[in-house]
Formats: sequence, C-alpha cells, structure tokens
Amino acid sequence: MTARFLHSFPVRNAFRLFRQNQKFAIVTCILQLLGIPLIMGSMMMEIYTDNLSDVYIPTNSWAYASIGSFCLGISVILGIFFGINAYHEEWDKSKVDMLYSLPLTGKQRFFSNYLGGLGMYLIPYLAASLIGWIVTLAFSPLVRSVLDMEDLAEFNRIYKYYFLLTLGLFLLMWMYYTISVLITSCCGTLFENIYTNILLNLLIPGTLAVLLAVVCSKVEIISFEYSWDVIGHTSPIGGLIYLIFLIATKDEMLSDYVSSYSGTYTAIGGELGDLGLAPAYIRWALIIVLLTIAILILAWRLYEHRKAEHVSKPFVYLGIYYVILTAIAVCILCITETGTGALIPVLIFSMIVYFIMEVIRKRGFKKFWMSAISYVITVVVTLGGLHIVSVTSAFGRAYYIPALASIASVKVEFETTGSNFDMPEYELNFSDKETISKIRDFHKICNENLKQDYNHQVRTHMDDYYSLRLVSMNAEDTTYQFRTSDQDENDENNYYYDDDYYSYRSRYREYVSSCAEFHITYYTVTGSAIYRTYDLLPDEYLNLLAICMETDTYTEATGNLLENRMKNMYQESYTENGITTRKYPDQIAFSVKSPAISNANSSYYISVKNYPQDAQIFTIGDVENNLKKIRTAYQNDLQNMTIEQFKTDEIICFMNGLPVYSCNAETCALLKEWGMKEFSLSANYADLGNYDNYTTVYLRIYAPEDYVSPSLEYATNSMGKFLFKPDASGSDIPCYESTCIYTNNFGGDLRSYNPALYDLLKVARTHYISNESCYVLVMNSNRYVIPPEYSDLVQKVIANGSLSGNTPSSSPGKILYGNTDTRMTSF
Amino acid sequence: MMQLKQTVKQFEDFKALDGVDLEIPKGTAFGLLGSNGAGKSTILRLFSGIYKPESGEVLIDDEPVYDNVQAKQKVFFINDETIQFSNFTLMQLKNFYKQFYPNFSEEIFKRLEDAIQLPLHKKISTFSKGMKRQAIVITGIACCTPYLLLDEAFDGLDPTMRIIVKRMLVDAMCERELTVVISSHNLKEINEMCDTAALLHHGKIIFNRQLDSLKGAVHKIQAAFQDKTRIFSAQDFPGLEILHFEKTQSIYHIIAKGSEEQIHQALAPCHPVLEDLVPLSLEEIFIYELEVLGYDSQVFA
Repeated sequence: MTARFLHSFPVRNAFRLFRQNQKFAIVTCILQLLGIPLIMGSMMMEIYTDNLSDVYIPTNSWAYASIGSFCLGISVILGIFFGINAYHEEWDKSKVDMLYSLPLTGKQRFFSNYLGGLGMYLIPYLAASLIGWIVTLAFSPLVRSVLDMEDLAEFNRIYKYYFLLTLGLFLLMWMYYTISVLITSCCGTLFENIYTNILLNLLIPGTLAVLLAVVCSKVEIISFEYSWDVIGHTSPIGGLIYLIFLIATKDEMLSDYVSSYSGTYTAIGGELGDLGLAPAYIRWALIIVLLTIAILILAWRLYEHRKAEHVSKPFVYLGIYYVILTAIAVCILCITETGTGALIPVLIFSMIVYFIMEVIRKRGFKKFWMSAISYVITVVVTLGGLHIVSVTSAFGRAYYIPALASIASVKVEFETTGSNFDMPEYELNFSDKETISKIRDFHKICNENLKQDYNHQVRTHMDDYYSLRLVSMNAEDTTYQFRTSDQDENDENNYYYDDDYYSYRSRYREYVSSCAEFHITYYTVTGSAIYRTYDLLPDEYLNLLAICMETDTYTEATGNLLENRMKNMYQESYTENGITTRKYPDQIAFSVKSPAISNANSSYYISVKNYPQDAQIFTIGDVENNLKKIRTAYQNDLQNMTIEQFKTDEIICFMNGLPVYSCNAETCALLKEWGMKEFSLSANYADLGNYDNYTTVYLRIYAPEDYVSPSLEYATNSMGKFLFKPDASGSDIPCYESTCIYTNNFGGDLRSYNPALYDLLKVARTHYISNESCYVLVMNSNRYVIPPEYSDLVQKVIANGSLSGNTPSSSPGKILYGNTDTRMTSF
Repeated sequence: MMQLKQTVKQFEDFKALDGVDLEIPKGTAFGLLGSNGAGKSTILRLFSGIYKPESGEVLIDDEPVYDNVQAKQKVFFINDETIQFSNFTLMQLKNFYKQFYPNFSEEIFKRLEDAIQLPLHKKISTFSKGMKRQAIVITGIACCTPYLLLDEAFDGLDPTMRIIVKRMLVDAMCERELTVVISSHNLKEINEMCDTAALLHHGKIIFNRQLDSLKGAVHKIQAAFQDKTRIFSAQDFPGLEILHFEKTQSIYHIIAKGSEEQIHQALAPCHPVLEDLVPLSLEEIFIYELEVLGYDSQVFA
C-alpha cells in the first residue's frame, strides 16, 4: 500500500517538482522549520524568566522571536513561487513540449502539479508546527513550575491558541497557494505571473476595504466595520487579520488586551454576535476552505481551457488583468471621494498608472486608443457607480428592513457614552415578535428621519447649524473658540485662537449629533444578518429606550451588567513593585459615586490611593445572597420605572456606573441599609470649607436658548470673556454673568450666607430632560438644571445675589438636556 | 497509423494548418518537409497531443490523441530543444519518463547508453549539444513507443553524431515496427532516413509520396526543337505539369512532373532534336515545387 502510494504519479511528480526547484524548496523549508519553533521557544523562555520571582535573567527572547517571525513570514510569502514553479509549463516555453506531451490528461497534470507544489509548501510548515508543539510541551513543565494558579490557567490556553493559529495559518497558506495557481493558469509569462500575484493579494483586501469604506461613508448607516466579514474571508491577508482579531475577541482573556477602540475588534465581535470562539472559528475556517476549493476549481477549469500555445502570452485570460487594472484605478479614483477636491490630480494620476499597465501588457503602444477608451469607461463606471450608490443609498439597501415574518431575532445595541445620557452600553437580543415589531417600527422612523433634509443637514452640516451653540456649551471656559455660521470654516482668520477648539467642537458634535450610537442587527430565519448603524438624536434615543424599558430583556441585561461589574471589581493596591490590581476574593465590592462627578461611569477599578472624594466604597460578604439581593432590587425598580421617570427623576448615585434614580425605592433602601450616605447637592455646598481644592467657586445662571443668534460677539471684562447680544433690545444685554461669589477664603455656611442659593441647590438636578427651556446653574464647572417649576427660585437668587445684568428670558418649546458633565444645551 | 483528417490549427490570426489530411502508416520513416512556418512542427505537436486542433481530427491508431493517455503513451516526441532537461541527470531523465511509458525498456536503455558512453549521474546541463541530443534520443527509443516524432532532430550535430543518432533510429526501426516521423529542413537527411515524405507550405500539404516514386516523378529536361524560328512556351506541352520553364538560346530547360515516358510523349509533337532527361534530387524538387507556389529564392537575386 505504502509502496504503491510512493510510486503513485502525484507523489513522484512531487519529487520531480522538488528536484526541479530543489534549492528554492530547501531554503523555504529551512525558513519554515526555524520560524514557528523559534517563536514558541522564545515565548516559553520569556514566560519562564518573566515569572521567576526573585531572579532577573536577561534574555534575548524578543530577538529570537523576531528572527522566528521573520523566517515564518518570508517562508509564507514565498508560497506564490511554489504555485508558479509547480506549473512551469504554463510560463516557460521550453517546458511546454516536454510536459504537455506526457501521457497525462489535463486534469491529471493539473492536480499532480497542484499536489506537488502544495506538498512542497505545506509539508515543511506542518513539520515546523509539530516541532513548535514539541518545543511548547518540552518547555511547559519548567514554565508551569514558576506560575501561580491564576497565571497557570491563562498559560493553559496557549495550547488552544497554538492549535487555532497554526491551523488557521495552514488554511490561509493553502488559500494563498491556490490563488497563485489560479493566477498561473491565467498568465503566460513569469513576469506577469509574479506581479499579478503580488498585486492581486494586496488588491483583493485593499480594494474591498477602500470600496466598502467609500460606500459606507456615502451611505452612513451601513457600517464599515462589518465589511470585515467580506474582507476577512476573501483574501489571505484579510483572513490573517480577521483570524487574529477573531481569536482575540472571542477569548475572554485575550479580549482584555485588545483595544476596544479598534474597528476590527468591534466589528468582528459584533458581527458574530453571541457565537463562541469555537463556532465562530469553524464558521471562518469553513468559509475559507469552501472559497479555496472554489478557487481551485476555477483554476482547474481555466487550466483545462487554456492551450499549450498560450505560453509566453502575458495574460491568457484578460479578465484577471482587467480585474487588477480596475482595482488599481478604483483605489486611486476613490481618493476623489475623500472630499479633498482632488479630482483632476487623481484623474491624471490614475490615467498615468492605467497607461503604464497597458504599455506593460501590450509591450508597446499597439491599439492605444483601446486603452484610452477602457480608461474612460473605468472612470465613468467607478465614479458613476459610487455616485449611484450614494444617491440611491446603495440601491435602497441601506434602508432595507426585513419583513417581520422573516426575522428570527433582533440585536439592539446602543451606547450613550460621552453624551448627556450617562447610560451603560447595552446589547439586547429580542426574539419575541411584539418587541421585534416595535423595534422595526422604530427603525422605520429612524430611516424616515434620516431621509428628511433637516435631520440629514443636522448630521452632515453640524458646523453651520450648531457652531454658535458651541459658544453656549463652553461658555464658562475662557479659552474656547467659535465661529459664526456665515463665515468660511476653512478660513483660519474666522477662528478665535484656541488649541482646544477642535476637541470642543468634536465633543459638541458628538453630543448633538449622536447622543446615542445605535446598532441594529436583524438575524433572519435563513441565517443571514442585516446590520445598520445610526447616530440617534436625543428624542429618537428616548423613544428607543421607552421600547426597551418595557421588556424583561432590558432589566435582565442591566441586572447582568450590575452583577458582572460587581463580580469583576478590581482594587488597585500600591506595593513596592508598583501598582497591582486584584479582585476582591470573598466579597462583593462596589462603589457608589455622586452624580456630580464627571467620571461616574468608570467603575471597574477602585483606587485605594486616589479614588474620587465623593465616592463611597462597599465591600460586603455573603456574596451569593447579597449579589442576588441587589440585582433583584435593581431589576424590580427598573421594571417599574417609566420613561417619564427616566427623564425627570434625579439620579441619587451611580452604583458601579449604573444610575440609581430617586424612584428606585428598593435599591435605595438596600443601599442605605448597607450604609450608603445619600448625596445631596445642597448639603455638599452648604459648608464651603469642604472645597479646599478650589480657590474659587463660580456661579453662573443662564438660559442657553438666548445664545442662539448669528450676531453674537464676544467681549472681555476683568473676569474673562463674556457673550453679548448687541442687537437685543437695542442695548448690550449680558446673557449670563460669571461672578465670583465665594472663595474658600470666605468659608462659612451657605444656608446663612445665601439662603436663596441654598434653596436653589436643593432643587438643582444633575439629570433632567424636558421639553421646556430651563435655567442652568453652573457651579465649579458642573452644570445643573433647574426644573422649570423652580424658575422663580432662580429669579430670587439673581435678585438677591451679587449678580449683575438683566435676567435672560427663556423661550419654551424646546427640549433641554442636562446632566453632570460639562455638556449641556438645548434643541 | 497516424492520421490527420481535415485538421485545422490556428494561432490567433495565423492559420498554421488549413484542413490538412495526412496518413502515416505504421513502420514508415516519414519525413516532413516544408518552408519555415509551413506547419511541420505543428503537425508533430498535434500528433503528440500538445496542441488541440481547432477542427478536424488527429488520430493515432484511430484514437484521438488530445487528452488521451492511451494514445499519448504510443508517442514519444523529441523537439529541437534540450534546455528542458537541464536540471536532470540522465538517470533522472530515464526514471522520469519510465513512470509515464509502461513499455519502457531498461535493457534497450542500458544497451544504447553503453554504446554511446554518456555519464549517467552528471547533470545534462553540463553535456554538449550532441550529447544532450543523444541522451534524449536514447531515452525516447527506450520508451518503446510505436511512434517516435523528431523535430529538427539532427540540428547542431556533427557528422559523426548524426551517423550515430541515425543508426540508433534505424536499429530501432529494424528491431520493431517503429514509425519515425522526422521534420527537418535538411533534405539530405530526409532523403537518407525516410521512405515517405510530405511537403508542406502555408499550412497545406503539397505532396505526400514515397521518396522513390517522388524522385522518378519529376525530371529536369534539356531540349531543343526542330523549328528554331518558333518560340515554345509551357502551354505548348499540354500533357506536362511544368514546374519550371526557361529558354537559353535554342535550348529549353524544363522541370516537369511525370515519368520519362510521359515526358517523351508530351515533347514528341514538337519534334525535339535534343531530349535530355535527368531525375531531380529531393532538394531540387523542394525548391521547384515551392517556386511554383511563389516561395522563390530568386526574389532576392
């Protein structure tokens, strides 16, 4: 049996190929055998020495790992030459007669060459993987001896990663080799073969990325992040990136190390939904395998169809040439879509590249007018196509909502981080038809809003609409910069100096345009996923929240979030070796923070050294029961809460970043039972001596609506910059005042010093959403909303205090949002 | 038997074979003659299954050759290049072909190899041109295929080497019913080796005959006629297929197809006073046949 196998034609042909490409194959084989074992060996060495507690052993493991990576990288890249060399007769005229005249069918010749080349490429890789595995196993007793239990659990994952990565790389190398075989079937010369291989491997992911990015930039609600689903399965390079992020995303431990700001990370994480690592990996591997088989079949059909006399013809099948040419032209032409106004230079550049390619292919200037025509067609089709995609919103696909009956489930994700709504990030899966129907209706409204000019303008021409609001946003800051809407945004002279302008502007834009980032994914009964993303306006967000709040999924998700945060609470401790973070072993831990502090939402760490002054930290025993208690209480409260309460109820505190409202009676009671002191704004400010960190306490009161005027100017006085409306009532009326009313030098009790202000502080809210215009109180850079029913208290403070100027009037009919952070404005 | 039936082979705009019919019986030493680009190598590549015809049939023992393993196992093709074997040693070359040709004879290979004393384990790239040619010829003969195709097989060989290679081929033909098809510009070699030859021009077969009958079928005639006042032209000899007609003073130089008897009868009505018939060599036939078709060396005279 073995002898028969060894004497079978494919095996003997593999030996022939090896003999023919002996030197090259040996070099690659050595590189591969060095690559993985060196990487694994140095990694194990590094883990070992890194975990030796007392001794520091300097190692050059990074250098060995670099050499290993270099060897592996080069040997993998050289794969195209195995594909090319396996089919010598396709590009080397001298070999045609010899190999085509052999008593073989085209199919036998193709597959024996294919297997021969593949064997030369992948057998050394498999051997190297095996050696790497042996190296890992050989080192592991040594490494294990220095690891503690927690690190040991993490270390044990190395075998899984190793297997998944080596298998994934194996599949990608197979795909890479098969693509080179396909190209060899399409090209008749070595030069065209090599450059097509290089270009195509770069252009498949590159062009897809560029094209999808442009389409997504034109059709905003289709997210580019999900393009990774296409890019990650259609090319070896895209596949490699996808594979690494797939493993990193889906593994609990690794995901901690991957930046959550990476588009790839979130995309791959999001696209696969709740799939675990194994099913997600299998899905990816299966697609790669199927695609590789499809490429192989295509290569074979093309090989069979081509003739012996096609050797030395640059491109046997011009299709592949035009794919490359068009891809290059598309990539260059897409630069015009960046809005740089570079149409003419881009056209000239693309034309030069296009014609150079044509000259290379034609080995001269034969029928050059044909090239000119094809270039014009390429430009027209590319730019026209992109324009059509933009105008038709990807042929209406952007606004597509599947029929209710065809939806198996809907995943709704929304994130309000950075906006006025300091809510945690939610990912809710709904499978009941009633909620799905509501979500669909909401989605339809989002689409309709987006289609309307006003909303579109708001989103896309933010500066024109809201540049002046920027003024009101940052009114207390004396170094902001703004421009008026009738000024050219590209003219630097129209800006007042301030380095922070852009950060303010972006913050402001984010606030106004995307108070919530909303992603919706429909999973259909046929297994496909339709994903869209929106920047919700505040009223849209509230509508969405109202739908979600009615569901158990929402309360359950919030309960999970709370439990998860409590379970994973870390404490920073300071030792002589620096800062270390540890979990609380037998206790649930959580912090309760005042809504008045700006980082209320970041509650995964408790710093023993420097936690915010108005945070209370709890560590409570009886983990199982107490965790259940607080979770149940919080879930019950949320279930009973209405959207109106969400809008107007004061936030008592943030419990590990989750807001506790005054209406959340059960939770409040439990927290008080555990010893929480309720936060009170008025109490905090009552004794001004508490504020020893501040030299000055400022008070400002204003109604933001009054600032919206194109004729705003600025002036300065001794206290800084102020805004005026010079044309209002024919005189300069200060829209707000900034007055130093107290400093810590004064100290004293606010209740006796300014009882009107004390009363005002009692009703001031860190969180308030209303359709009416409200006064805003700014103290120490924190903003508080005064509910409209307490406007008379404001009048009292102004009349009573040392404020100067006229009281601004408020205009009703607008929603006003405000909370603890410095962002606040009206619509 | 090897057959081409209405075979057309086209390379983009160029028609290399234009509806060719050809039969090469078993055991024949067949010569393919023709001008450059006439289609000789194309025929050999069609018979060895390298090229696929656009239309018509290419058959070996009544089986189509292209993509047919059984048919291709009956043919061994030696082209005019040896560079493709450069990476092999003679031993490797033998082993390579041995796996494809089931009738490969180690004994014949050994005998031939012993006779010419080629190094078995040296790379063929280090061989001289003649040695390379010998190496592939002995391998081809050892494959024991019923058909051996040689394209410009004697190019670049010195006279001694030519004789050696020819002997090998002749011995092989004598030993078994080997059919050898040789394409060459060297008419002398065809003359010496082949019993049948075909002349190709512009993708068509001009003639396909046994060499012996071919040689007696075209004659060079020197003639003078009784009526010296009359100027004769080719039309005056209607029974003759005249390839060349020229008059020098009163002597007419004519190249014409036909037997001596036929020529004599054709000239008789004009009362020749001098009639000298000389059979044409193959080279002369080649030149005059092609001259009739416009392939004329006098163009550059």
